[in-house]
Amino acid sequence: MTEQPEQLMFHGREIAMTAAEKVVMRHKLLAYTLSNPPCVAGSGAFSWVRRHALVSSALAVLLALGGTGVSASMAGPNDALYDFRLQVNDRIESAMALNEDAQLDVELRQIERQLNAEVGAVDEVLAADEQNEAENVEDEDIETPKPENLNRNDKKSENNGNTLSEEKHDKNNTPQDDDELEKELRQMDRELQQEESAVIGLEV
Amino acid sequence: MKQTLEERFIAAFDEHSDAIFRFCYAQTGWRELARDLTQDTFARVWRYLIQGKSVQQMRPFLYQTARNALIDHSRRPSAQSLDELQETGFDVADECTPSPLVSASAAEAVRLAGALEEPYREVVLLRYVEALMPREIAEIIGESENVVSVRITRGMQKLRALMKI
Repeated sequence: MTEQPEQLMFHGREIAMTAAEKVVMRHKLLAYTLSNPPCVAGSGAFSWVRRHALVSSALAVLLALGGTGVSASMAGPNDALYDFRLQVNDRIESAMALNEDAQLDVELRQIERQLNAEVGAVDEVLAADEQNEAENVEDEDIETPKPENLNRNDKKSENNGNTLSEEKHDKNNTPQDDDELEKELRQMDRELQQEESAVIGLEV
Repeated sequence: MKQTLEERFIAAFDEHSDAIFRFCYAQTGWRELARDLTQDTFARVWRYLIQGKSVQQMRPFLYQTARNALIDHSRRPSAQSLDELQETGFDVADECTPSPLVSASAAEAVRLAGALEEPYREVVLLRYVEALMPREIAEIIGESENVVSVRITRGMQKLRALMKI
C-alpha cells in the first residue's frame, strides 16, 4: 500500500545528526562562544543609550561650567560668582601659563586686578554711604522749621483774635476772602457806631 | 538560578540542532553541506545575541537564520544547487538509501521534497517534516498565513502528481 505524501514526508523527521557529529559541532560552537564573548559594556541598545547619556551629561556639565566661568570672569567682589572666579578661573588661567615667568606675570596681573576690583568696591560702598548721609541730612532739614518760620510763628502766637482774618487774608488771598473781610469790617464799624451812640445817649 | 548567555545558547543548540540540520539537509540533499550550514546558523545566532539583542522565540528565529544561511550559500559563485548536484551525479536517494544514517523512507521523503520546486518545497518541508503551523511558517518566511496555506496545498498537489497517486 502506497503511503500518502503527508505520511511519507513525516518520515523525514528521522533525519538527524549522529551523536558524534553533534558533539563535534557543540565543541566547535563552545569554542566560538569563548573566542567571541558577549560584550558586557559598550555594546547593545542599552549600552548605546547609557553611553550617549554619559556623553550628554558630560557635555551638559562642561557647558554649565563654561557658562559659569564666562559669567564669573566678569564678576566683581560683591557678586556671587566672585569666589568662583578666584578659585577656578584664576587658577586655570595661571595653570595655563607656559612657563614660570609667564605664570608669575599672570598671577601679578590677577592680584592687581583683584586689588583694583576690591578698591573699586570699597569706593562704591563709601560713595553709597555718603549719599545716604546726604539724603538723611536733607530729610532732617525738611522736618526742622527754619528761623524765619519760627519768627512768624512767634508773631502768630502774639496776635491771636483779630489777626486771624488778616492771617487768612495773607495766606489765601482770594476775592471771596476779601468780601468776607469787608463784611466783617463793616459789621465791626456798625457795632462801634452803635456803642458810641449808646454812650452819647447815656451822657446826654 | 539564572542561565548565562552561553548556557542558553548551548541549550538552544541541544534542543534545535537536529531540526535545523534536517531543514538544511532537506533543502540541499547534501549531508556535509547541511552540517556546515547548521553550524553557520548557530554561529550567526551567537553573533546576534552578543550584540545585546534579545530573541523572543528561538525556534522560528533559528529557522529564519538557517533560511538566510541557505540563501546566502545559494548566491555564492561556487555554490551548487540541488538540481546541479543531481545533474552532476549526486542523487539524494542514491546517497541515502544505502546509508545507515538515513532510513529508506526518510530518504524518499527528502528525495520528493528535493523534487519540489520553490516556493513549495520550503513550506511543505516545514509543515510536514517539522510539523510547524502555517502561522509559524508565515513568520519564518515573512509571508501571510493565507499565502503559506495556499503554497502548502499546491505543493502537496504537486507531490501527489510526482508520486502518481
